[in-house]
Amino acid sequence: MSQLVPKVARFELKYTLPGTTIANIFHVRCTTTSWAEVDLDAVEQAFEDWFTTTGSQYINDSCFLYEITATDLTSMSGLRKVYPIDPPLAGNMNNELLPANVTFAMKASISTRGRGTSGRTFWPALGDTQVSNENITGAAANLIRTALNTLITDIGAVTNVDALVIPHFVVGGVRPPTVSASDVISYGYSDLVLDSQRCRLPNHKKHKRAGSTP
Amino acid sequence: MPHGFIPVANVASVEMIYSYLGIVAENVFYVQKGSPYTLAQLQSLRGTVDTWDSTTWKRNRTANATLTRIRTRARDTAGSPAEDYSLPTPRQGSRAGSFTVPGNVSYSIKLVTGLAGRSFRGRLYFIGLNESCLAALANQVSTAWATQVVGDLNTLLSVLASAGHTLGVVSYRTGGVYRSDGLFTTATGWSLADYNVDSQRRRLTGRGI
Repeated sequence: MSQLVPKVARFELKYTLPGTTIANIFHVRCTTTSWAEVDLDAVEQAFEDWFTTTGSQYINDSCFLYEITATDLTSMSGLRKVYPIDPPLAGNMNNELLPANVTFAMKASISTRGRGTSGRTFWPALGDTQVSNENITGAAANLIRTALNTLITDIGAVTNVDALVIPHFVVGGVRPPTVSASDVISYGYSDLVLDSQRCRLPNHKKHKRAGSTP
Repeated sequence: MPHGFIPVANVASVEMIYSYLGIVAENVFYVQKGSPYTLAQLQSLRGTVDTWDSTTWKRNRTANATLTRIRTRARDTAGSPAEDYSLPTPRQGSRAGSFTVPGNVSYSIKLVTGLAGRSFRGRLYFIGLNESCLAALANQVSTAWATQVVGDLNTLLSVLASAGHTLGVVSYRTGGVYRSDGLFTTATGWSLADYNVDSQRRRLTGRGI
């Protein structure tokens, strides 16, 4: 079922890792009724800038941001634009890369109660110096949290942008045709235990489950 | 889907139970012989597996993966003999390496029977990888280590056969429905599907258990 998210665009940050590609998805709400191309361009540039100055500092140097795809979810005929990044932007951590299914979940707080209403960002390309057995180190977790909180600020500062948001594609088990979205107030973590993303491994299933988000 | 005990005639399960980075992880396999297992026969079977681990298998896993118990159970009836054996000295792995990768990183080895279909193949998800097991590309294991692992598992198959046990695959379901009796199929050997790392999320502390 098609779902529309008024004023919101999806930005998919795509990375290469040895033998596989992975992605992180963010959603951004504009202040106008729908997205203009120039505004998508500006937000895409803000993501690139944030990666260069901040995000890459905590990502292994075998990981490269190679493309960002922006899609206006306001209507079925909304803009969609692919931004190749050439040359790709590398992570900046010179440590031993861990397998791609090893990740750490950062929770996006929207200051609203309810199951399944917060978003999560699964951090890419962790290295050995950031983890200890099954845990991420407290220092690494705090640096990643700070980096994502910086992203909230950086995206919010772009002209015609309202905020980084979390859309609620499923409410009470139902997929509404028009989706509401909540501002991301801050990022945090529930615990220091690492998380798993099996689909990030080479040749593991990447199919979408029935009824997944658009 | 709840179900009662599913018998498998003349078959015993062997569970190798590890303490691993703060969690309990295990591998299970099945063997068969010509008659139901007695407790004495289970103990003998356990001894065979214990010796194989001590002399062969432990070299593949990190010191952080410690074999603590071997549980054997005859699968003929719900009341058949079982033994839960705690190793007097829990056995660490001896694979040298500076860094144990998180517990959700695993590698699967396929148990084949020469027959097609999901009921006729098994898998073992290795417990206890460290950095030395991985290839330069972190998403793959090294070919040398993988080859050694498969060789050691095939040694187990031979050792068990010499002791009168046939390693095999047990199927409890077919077409999405539980069988009334489990189906045992003799294994022809262990093999590699590829060198890609696999994932076992529930081997992380508090994840999905």
